[in-house]
Amino acid sequence: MKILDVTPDDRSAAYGHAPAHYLSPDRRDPVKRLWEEPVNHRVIAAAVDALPASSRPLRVLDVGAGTGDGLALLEGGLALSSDPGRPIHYVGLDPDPVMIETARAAHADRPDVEFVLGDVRDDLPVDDVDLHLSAGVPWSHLRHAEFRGALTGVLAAAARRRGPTAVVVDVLGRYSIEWTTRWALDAWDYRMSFFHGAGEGDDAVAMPMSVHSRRTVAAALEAAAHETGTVLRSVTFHDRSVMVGRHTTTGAFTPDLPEYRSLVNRLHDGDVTLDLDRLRFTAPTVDAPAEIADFFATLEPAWNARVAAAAAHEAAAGPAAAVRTGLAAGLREVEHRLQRGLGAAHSLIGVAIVAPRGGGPTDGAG
Amino acid sequence: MRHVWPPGGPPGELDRAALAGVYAYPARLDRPFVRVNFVASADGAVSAGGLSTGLSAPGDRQVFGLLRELADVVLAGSGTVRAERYRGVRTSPELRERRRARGRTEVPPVAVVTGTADLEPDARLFTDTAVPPLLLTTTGAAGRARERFGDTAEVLAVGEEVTPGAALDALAGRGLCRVLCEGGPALFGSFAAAGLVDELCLSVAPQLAGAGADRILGGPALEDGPEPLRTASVIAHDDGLMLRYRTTRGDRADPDGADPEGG
Repeated sequence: MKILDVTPDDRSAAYGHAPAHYLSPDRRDPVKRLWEEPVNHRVIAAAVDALPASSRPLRVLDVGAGTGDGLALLEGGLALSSDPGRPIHYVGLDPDPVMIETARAAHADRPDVEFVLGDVRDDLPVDDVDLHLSAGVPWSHLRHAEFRGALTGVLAAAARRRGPTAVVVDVLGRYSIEWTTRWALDAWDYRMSFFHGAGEGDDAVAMPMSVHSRRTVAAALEAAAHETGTVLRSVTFHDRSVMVGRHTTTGAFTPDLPEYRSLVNRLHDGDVTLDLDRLRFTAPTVDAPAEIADFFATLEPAWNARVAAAAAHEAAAGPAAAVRTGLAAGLREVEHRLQRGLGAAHSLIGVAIVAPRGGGPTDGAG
Repeated sequence: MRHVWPPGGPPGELDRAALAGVYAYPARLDRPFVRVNFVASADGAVSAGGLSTGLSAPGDRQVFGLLRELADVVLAGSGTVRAERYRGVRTSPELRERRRARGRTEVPPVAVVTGTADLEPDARLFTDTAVPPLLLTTTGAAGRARERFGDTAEVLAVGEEVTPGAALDALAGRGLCRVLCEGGPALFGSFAAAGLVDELCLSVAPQLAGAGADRILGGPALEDGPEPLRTASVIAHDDGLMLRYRTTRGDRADPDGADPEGG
């Protein structure tokens, strides 16, 4: 196991080019809009719906908020919830002053939104929080020991409330097909092309990140609940971007992997020149826990059957853009239906509904 | 419910498994198979009092539910979805289990053919369903539809216009080959004019609806003249008749007969 030691200063320096990256319209490709964001929306809707109904604003703390992507995801999630019109009070927390400055400028017209410079490992800037949100794997910046400590801080805040608190923990999945070469490690150097020093080419700089499985997140939540005297009313997990993580296309860790993300984006655009055979998937043969191997052994035939059916239809009727867009939607349906929240995707999202010990389900939230 | 035609069908009162055998989709499909289901009165009306639910043949609701259970997708036109206030396909733990056992998804989505995608986001189709409906729309309307419906619908851009062929291409790509088209008459008419209907399931309600109602098929004339049909099966229940007709296209798709798994 490699030991990571990232200080907040290292991290903030590394994200120098990030605001431009996060605010770029090109970043929201079809995969992001149609495969990835809907997962966050559903997760957030379920988290909010697990809290007691209330007319007061939903108080949200977005950990590692960056330029405020989590706010749009929150609003998409609220739209799906049972109270879509509920007002919010959103606080974005990030250790990077440039991010905070960019985020403030981008949301200057929002009195219900603020951004605070700070680190989740320190005392939280607000105490009475209904929903602890995270998106874009911020929790993976922490070493495993720090992760458990910071999560304990979040649950300690939950312990001080009368009613339940929803906690969304977003981390890099350990067992993504994007990095089968790293599956044996629980932390390693991750590449991000927008880090400081990254040029136009592929000389992306790396920073250490921790990767998680369902087991490590569940164990951390259970330990934090024990230590803070809280009860985990429910814990659920979601694998986001199993087949289409961005590093399928960069090939940064597994150069031989088909560039599924760009292939699927071309399908969404109805590109009839794409050779459908390139979409076929072979389950990784790297050593992995049994549930990971079992998941990929289930996904492989289901995914390939969709590809084969579309290819057979085109063999009879000729290539057609509608078949391609239909196949893109069909592959998404397979991934979303079969995912098990194991840490077998680019990101793993854990959702815990946390209540103080003895807190009744009908208590008001706060 | 009794099997009347062809001779040699299952004897006695049909149980659900026997009925599922009669209505099974072809065993092997490498293209969408379009089954159209309508109720008509004995005098050929598609509706009574403006709604198809105004007409009912004894046993017809049972077949209606079974056809949905066997389908990958329920296809309907936007006018029908509005007029009949469509909602998602009803389900139950038993239904989900039977579909799983056949290797299907647990709940078939409703797919709506809609060039403009201007349905109401708070309609039951979106709010009262186990799975998001599919909107088969134009490339021009898809972007706005995705903004309008967000995660509550799956928007498929099928082409510059939503032709029956392009709609089926999109469904095939999406992995939805067992198509159950529930109308309305204009949608049935456009599929028939394009020569893309495989089967017609027609329940005859023992009623006279009277003058003024539409027929089950509307829209453009059939360019090649009347289309011959083969009577594939007849089921009777009290006074109701459930007829199943195959087109030539439908018979070609089914050289080996029905799926023995009841699919």
